[in-house]
Amino acid sequence: MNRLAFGEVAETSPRNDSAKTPVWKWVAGAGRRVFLTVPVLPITVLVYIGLAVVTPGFASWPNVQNLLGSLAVLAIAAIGATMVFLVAGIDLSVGSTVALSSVLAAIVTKSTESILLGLATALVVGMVVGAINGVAIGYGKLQPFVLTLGVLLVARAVAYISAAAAAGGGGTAASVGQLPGEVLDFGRSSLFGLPTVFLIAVVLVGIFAVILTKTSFGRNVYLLGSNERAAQFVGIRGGLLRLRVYGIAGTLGGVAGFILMTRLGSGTATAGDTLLLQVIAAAVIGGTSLFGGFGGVWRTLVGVFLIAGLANALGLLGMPSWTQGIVIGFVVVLGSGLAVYLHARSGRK
Amino acid sequence: MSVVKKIGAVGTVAVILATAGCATSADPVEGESAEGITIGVSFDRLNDAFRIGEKKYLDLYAEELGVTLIYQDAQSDAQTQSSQIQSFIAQGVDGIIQIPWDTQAVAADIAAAAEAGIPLGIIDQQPADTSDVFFYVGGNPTADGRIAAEFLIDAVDGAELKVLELQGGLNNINGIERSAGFQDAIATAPNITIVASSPTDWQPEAALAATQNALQAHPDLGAVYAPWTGALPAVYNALDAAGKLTEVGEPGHVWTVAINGDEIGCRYVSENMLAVDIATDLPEMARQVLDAVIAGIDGEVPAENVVLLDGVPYTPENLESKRDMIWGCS
Amino acid sequence: MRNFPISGSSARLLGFLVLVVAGFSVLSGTFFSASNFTNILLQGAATAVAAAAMTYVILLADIDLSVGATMSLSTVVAVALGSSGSQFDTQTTIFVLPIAILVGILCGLINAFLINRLKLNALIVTLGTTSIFLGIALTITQAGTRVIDGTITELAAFRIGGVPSVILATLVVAIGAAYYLRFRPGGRAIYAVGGEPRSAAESGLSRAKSRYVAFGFLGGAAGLAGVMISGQVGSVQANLGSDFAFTVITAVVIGGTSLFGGRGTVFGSLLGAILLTTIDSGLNAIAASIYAYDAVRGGILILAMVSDSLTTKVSARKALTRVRVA
Repeated sequence: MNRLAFGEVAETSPRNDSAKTPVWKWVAGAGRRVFLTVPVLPITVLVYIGLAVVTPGFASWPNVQNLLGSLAVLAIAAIGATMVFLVAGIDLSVGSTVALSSVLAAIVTKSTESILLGLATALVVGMVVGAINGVAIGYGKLQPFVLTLGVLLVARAVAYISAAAAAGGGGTAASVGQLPGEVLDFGRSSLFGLPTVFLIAVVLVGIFAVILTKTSFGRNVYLLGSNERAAQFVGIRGGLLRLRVYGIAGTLGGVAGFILMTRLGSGTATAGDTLLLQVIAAAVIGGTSLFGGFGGVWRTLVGVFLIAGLANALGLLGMPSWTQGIVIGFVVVLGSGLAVYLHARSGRK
Repeated sequence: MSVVKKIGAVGTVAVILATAGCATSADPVEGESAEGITIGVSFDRLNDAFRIGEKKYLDLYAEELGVTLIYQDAQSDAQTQSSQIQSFIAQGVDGIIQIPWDTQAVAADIAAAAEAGIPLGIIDQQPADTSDVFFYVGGNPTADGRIAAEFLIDAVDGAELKVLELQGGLNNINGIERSAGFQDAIATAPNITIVASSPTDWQPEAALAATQNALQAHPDLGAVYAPWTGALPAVYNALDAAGKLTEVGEPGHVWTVAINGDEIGCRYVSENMLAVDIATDLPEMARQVLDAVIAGIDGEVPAENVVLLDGVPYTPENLESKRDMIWGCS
Repeated sequence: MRNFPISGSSARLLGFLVLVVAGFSVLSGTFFSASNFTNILLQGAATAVAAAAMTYVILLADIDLSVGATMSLSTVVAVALGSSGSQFDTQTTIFVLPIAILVGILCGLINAFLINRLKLNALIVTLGTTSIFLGIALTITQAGTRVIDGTITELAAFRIGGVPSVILATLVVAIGAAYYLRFRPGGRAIYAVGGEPRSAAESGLSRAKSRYVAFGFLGGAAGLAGVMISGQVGSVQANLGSDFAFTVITAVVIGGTSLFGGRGTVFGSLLGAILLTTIDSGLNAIAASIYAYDAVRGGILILAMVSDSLTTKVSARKALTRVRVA
């Protein structure tokens, strides 16, 4: 029996096992499936090809590794953000959560010399922030935009205060450094030729993709986002579900903060604001709807690739940062418009 | 593919390529006698007068020396900067000059450059740990703050003085050290009180509000200390609104002291509004780091790997004599 | 529609404001004075003007993150076109004001156009346009600062009968905005479209048209706000409005306007703006640590939300007519 999960697309041409499908047809079928799951992928591929042609050094192996390593933090944070968007919510505190967990993780790692304790700290911090968001929004029924904005401000303040306290107040630093060498070694390490942190990000995306499409939890997430009344009718407890979603988003923010710490060799309180905007842009361009109920984490990953790749290439081209801003602004608007258009079209099928 | 989607796809790609094509007009600076040396320059940000000044002098000396500079702007993000340094290393530049955004995280960049055998010269923002740094040259923010304080102490010569201290941003080591230097020196003079220390995050609006509030709470405010000259227009407008804007030396004058040495500072000093401005020696910074990195490419190690340049204080009186030492006046 | 001019949430906000003022006055001897309150109004004028206009946008259940970038771009362009002199001695003329407002309106109309045509969420469109507008502003200024003088700074310092022109301008905009919203068909349409979209559509009201009005107004207000700020500060730079959008949206939400649309008042947004400025001024007066600002703002925001949510639940349970529009 072919039960579909929400977000999963049915194959429109069922394969006849007895007949041998010609290779090209199979490729086309697979391609179409991929395209329907991740519509922005062909555009992204096109853009990458274009950038590789125009930008010297973009397609070089060291640059690719650089790019993949640097998008890990964004990708992991964006998983949580995607889930929040799926339930028609929004989490403005994601950037500050990343910053705060990187700072606290760095403090713990520095004093205990244990990178694992640092990871644990980051997870706990993320979980706590996520839980605060989740309780306030899920049970307190507070407005997500405003509540998470408040949390953003408070988390940012705590991050700065912690970093300053860790520096002993003598030089109020905004980051916590001089960590054990293993931290940076891990962040810069490679596995099978690819940056370890990137592989971790991809694995996490995969795990959550499976959770979202193959478990009842995932189905409930989509249902709550697309039709809250129907979800309640079916017995889904919105408060609990939202608590879980925001909690997961916060925890993933903590993971992202930990990864950031390993990439930089220090925890930094300044990471927040740009990250927030990139996360939102990546999710929407990838094809996740801000209105809820539609989208997915693989799509967001493609969105992350698009944004990060563009920033990388434009930097290599020596484009002034403000011109980069204009280009990326256009990409955000046009890309999102395209994503919405494709969504509308696929809905008609 | 539908027509609309095709247009959308082509449109997006076209926008990118078109702007990419125009982008290469942000040319690297070429020297006449191409020594063939390429140096990657990583700025933490490029959105204020100081950075613009630093770029100007780097370009100037690079052209004299016949060196090519490639600029990158990290837009105030540590990960971006780290990534850009990695890019430089991968591109195989001969040397790197960096203004670090994160003075802790820069340790990773220092290590990476050392491993790749590329000399890394850091300017303006001192790394937290300079033990492994190839070369650092910067101003002396603590001393600058102290000099500003000492000027005030001398100027009032024992009389009572209330001072408003404007502070920069939380994440800038220079602002923090200037503040510390200033406060420590003022603490030695019992007749001078800092009645308010207001954070501004380098925003002129905040400087305006802080000055207005201080004037309101302390009508006998006697001095304003600004850690960057960009605050001055706001400070003067606030003083003017309170009827307290006078030239240096006039009765009831509210002392203003600033640090930077840029065009705004030069203008106000020459108009006898700004009592003292402390100019960071940008030209010397640029010259020293370029010399050090170029020498490093040839395998030479600099004699001193941490150089702090004293600021040049100038006042309306001695402006003319010091004019060519002040980058903002040239 | 109730005729009572102050809604329940605005009354609560007023009470909150009084508490905050009282608190700071106790902590700081000089807080409670006419000149301080004048300063607060001066410092909050730009936020207030933008918040009054942002009310329109949020009433439509939309949002505009680009208001800071619009402010920056319109001011930069206006000063560039409407003045003479060098970068550090720019003499502005009166033309700076209308040019800034016009450029601002144009930016707002562009936002509305994109949201209407692309059928996108306002959040993501204005996220993109923020980047674009800011990029253009920076390209024009090349990240430099202009020191300005002349008509605009004189205008900003001008007082009519002891009342600063800046405060008068804010009042004019706010009263005009409130009047239009309540008494003109275009304004009522905004409430309808935002609050009851289906019946509004059936009555033939166009959401697209309301968007042009709302976003255009907000853009123009942003231009005015930018001129107000630069006139008072005496300098213009491209990152004029970096945190502005969040501050303005916070002011509007604290003021009782619902992000879901259809409910809220200009007066509430004004109060919200004043409250935020008062808090900043108070923190300044008590020499709060630099870290306290964000924490206090965030705390107040959450507190305001929680109290608003609690009290609306209580009154809803009482099943009295809730004030929907005041």
